[in-house]
Amino acid sequence: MSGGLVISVSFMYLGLIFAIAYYGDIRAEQGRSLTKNPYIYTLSIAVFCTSWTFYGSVGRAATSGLGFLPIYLGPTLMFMVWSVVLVKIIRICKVNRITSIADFISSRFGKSSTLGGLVTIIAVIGTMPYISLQLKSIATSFTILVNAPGEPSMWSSNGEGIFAMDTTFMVALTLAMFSILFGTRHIDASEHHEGLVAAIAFESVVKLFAFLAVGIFVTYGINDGFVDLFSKAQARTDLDFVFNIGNDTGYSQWMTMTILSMAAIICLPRQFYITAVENADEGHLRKAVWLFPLYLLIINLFVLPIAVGGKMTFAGTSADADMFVLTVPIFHDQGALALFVFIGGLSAASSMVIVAAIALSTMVCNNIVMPILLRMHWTGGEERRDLSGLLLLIRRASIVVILFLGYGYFRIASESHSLVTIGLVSFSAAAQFAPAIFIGIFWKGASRNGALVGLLLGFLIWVYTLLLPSFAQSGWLPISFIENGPYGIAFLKPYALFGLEGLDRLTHALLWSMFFNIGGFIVISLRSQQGAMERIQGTLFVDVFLHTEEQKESGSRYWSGSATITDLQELVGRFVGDRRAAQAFHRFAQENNIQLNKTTIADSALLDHAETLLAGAIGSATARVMIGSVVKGEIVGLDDVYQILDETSQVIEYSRQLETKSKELEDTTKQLQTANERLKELDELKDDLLSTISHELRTPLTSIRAFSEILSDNPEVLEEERKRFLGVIIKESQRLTRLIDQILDLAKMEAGRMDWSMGKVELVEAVEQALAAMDGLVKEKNVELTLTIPSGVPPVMADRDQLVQVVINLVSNAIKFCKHPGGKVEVSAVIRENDVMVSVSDNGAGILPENQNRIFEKFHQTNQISDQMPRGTGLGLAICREIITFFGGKIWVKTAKEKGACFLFTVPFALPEIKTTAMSAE
Amino acid sequence: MKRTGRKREWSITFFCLGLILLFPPLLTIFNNPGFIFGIPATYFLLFCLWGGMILVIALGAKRQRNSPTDFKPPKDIL
Repeated sequence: MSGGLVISVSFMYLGLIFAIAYYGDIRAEQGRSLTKNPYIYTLSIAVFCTSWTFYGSVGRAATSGLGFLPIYLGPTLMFMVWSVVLVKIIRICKVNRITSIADFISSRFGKSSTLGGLVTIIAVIGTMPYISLQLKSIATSFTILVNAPGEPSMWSSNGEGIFAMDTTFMVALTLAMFSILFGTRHIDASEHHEGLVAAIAFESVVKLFAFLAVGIFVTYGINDGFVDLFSKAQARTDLDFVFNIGNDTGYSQWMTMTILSMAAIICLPRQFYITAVENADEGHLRKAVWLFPLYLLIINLFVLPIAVGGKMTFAGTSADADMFVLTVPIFHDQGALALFVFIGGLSAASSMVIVAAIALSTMVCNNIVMPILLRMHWTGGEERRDLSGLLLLIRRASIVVILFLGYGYFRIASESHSLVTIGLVSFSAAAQFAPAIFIGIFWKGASRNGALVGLLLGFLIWVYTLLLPSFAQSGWLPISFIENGPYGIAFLKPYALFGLEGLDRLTHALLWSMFFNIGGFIVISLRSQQGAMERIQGTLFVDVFLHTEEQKESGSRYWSGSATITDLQELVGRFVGDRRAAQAFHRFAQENNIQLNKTTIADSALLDHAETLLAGAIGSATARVMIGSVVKGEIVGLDDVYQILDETSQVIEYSRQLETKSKELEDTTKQLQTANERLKELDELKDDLLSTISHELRTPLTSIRAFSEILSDNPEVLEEERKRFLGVIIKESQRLTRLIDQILDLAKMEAGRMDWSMGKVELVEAVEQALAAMDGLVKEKNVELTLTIPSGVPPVMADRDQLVQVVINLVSNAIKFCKHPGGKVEVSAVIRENDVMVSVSDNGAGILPENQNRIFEKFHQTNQISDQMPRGTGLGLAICREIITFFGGKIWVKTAKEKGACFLFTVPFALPEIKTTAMSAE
Repeated sequence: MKRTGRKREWSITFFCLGLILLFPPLLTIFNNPGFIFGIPATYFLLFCLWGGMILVIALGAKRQRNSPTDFKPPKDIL
């Protein structure tokens, strides 16, 4: 057949696949998804069937009978427990937005980037043989097809292609290109690549029909049905083994392959990607879990017939059994069928390569390159570059690298091996992920270090017992490495490690790698302390249904209860007291009309009731945990502990707030106490005030009344006497008037209703006016008054009348309290920076220091002078203080030089610029 | 199969049964050189077993009338 024809048909086919992918993406963008149904999902999972199935199964059957079957029975077994394993994994992927198997494992173990990197490395190296298998099958089938028809001996897999260059290399290049076109056209925001899924599903249909076509051709075209075919084979003596499983090593290999394929259906990176990550709806599983095994069954139905047919067709020749699917139609001159088969093989291989390359490149990018770049701070925080171009570049480069690793492996190790043998090496590598995944989703205690050690040990054993020997067999390592062990140490022979002999290589490798993988995983997990992140992630993974289905539960959260009523009552009793718990339970039983049998299992209503009871005592989250601990009979879950801790921290925060509040409260209390004391004082003062006022008013009133009565009752009072009496009455009336005026003034001032007429006042004039008003009194008391005011005192800002009043009050007080006789009163002023300070001092008895503050209070009168008659109203100083304070000055008293009292007050200057002249004047 | 709401338990039971049947020594029962209906007995029996397993999965995966969410056991088991 012409090479050009084959190549152009191949490219047309790949173009068609690409068009389907493109169309699928467009439909997805329009919201009319092609792929969101269980059938497409099933067909996409069938990416499991690669060239291995398409070509290799027949080869396997032709050499070892039914030994090809475990690879498909394993996945079927695995899908039997889909509701335990598969759904859980898919749910976890959805909840945690997992994008790959490396992501899954690293995420499970505390989002460890080291683990993600290790998984990626294992996946890339482990997939290498698998990709080489696909490349080999395409290259070989291509070579056979273009060289046909010819002698079967010519159809050697090592023949050069029509181009004088390496066909396998060209295949690798082409597939790399297509993988890049498929998977890395753009960086998707979502994890779903609908176009890819559609294309893969289509490829699954093509390969199925191509294989069935050959099967039907062999069974019904060449022969007359199954019975005829098998009876022909039975007649031959050399084909008996084909119908059976094989001898003893056949059994061990059978078991090993079953276990490997069970692991592989989940753990192969591309399988994980398609099954778990690309799953659009968990409900699709209900169909896929039996449709996919059915697909496997159908595609395998004709493996044995084709193998038998091939064996009979090419009896006695050295024809490659792996290629029977293709060579039998060629032998029978079915060119079109052969081309269809080639396309089927191409679809099987290309779907695997494309999905694996995309899945692996995503892993390399996300789990190796990006963490390194981030660690190096290469992606820099200073400028937020658009990294999508970089991501695409990394993914494309990794696809090329991955494919050429596969090509390299083909060159080094796989040219001489059968397809299934190569594939099983990859399966064993993928199986190393199984402990981390399966134990990880059921055991919270599985730790990051355990997974790390287990994976590393398993991987190293795999490299040592399967990968390195395959290099040695090809001459890349000395063959003595296999025969005598490294450096002649027989104990370390890779196919008989630690002296374990008699097993086939695969079983041997799986046994040791799993021994160290699982062993290391569990032992280290048991020995290591989990970090907080590990615990959280572990709980999220293991309890994924608990976390995601809780919200769906409308009724009680506890449906898997196993707590007896006694358990429950004891638990509640521990927190709310036994008696109260018993009462509450009893009441509940009465209300709901149920019998409380101690040993019966508590129903959900009772559980809810108990939770409500507990919630009142210990908070809702804690209550839930406590009930949960009894119901499930297990130790409190870690996430719940976190919830408790969270609540506790809230409580701590709350109590801290309380503390500050109580401190504030203390302060307030102190303030209140002082205020209260002050109030008490004021209250006393008020009492004093009232008594003083009544006293003050009474005294003049009494004398006025007494003298008026005398005058009224005794008309014969002497003229002289009458005059004196009337004088007293007038004087006392004046005093009374003054007192009332002052009280009113003070009340006005305190209430802020005083009419002030503020303005510039010449201090000297005001003082002189005040002293002039006091002139009579001064002369009467014979007091020596001296006034010393410096010249050029700037005007002050004040109400003139009130300022005069202040000076009058102070001077009259001084006159009252100075020595008699020989009293001296001195009024002076001092210019200060911003104000003027006026002092009025006398030579009287002075004021005791303890009274110096209180002297300005209303009606405060110093009682030290034992005169019966009060000398003032007791309001003068209080009024002075009000006035001076209003002016913005201060008033106080100190002891004068010669024992007497010295009152001082300040009044601010009117304008700032005058201040400077005042300064210079001084 | 009676609808008892214990599908997961059933699925695990069948899984174990499958493992036991597909592993030696029970596997040797199927592995015999005879022919059934002119078809090699091993081939025939293994495919029958396989088909049976698929049937079991299909029956188990059928949506139950009374459980709208996937794996919620019905309340009556409490």
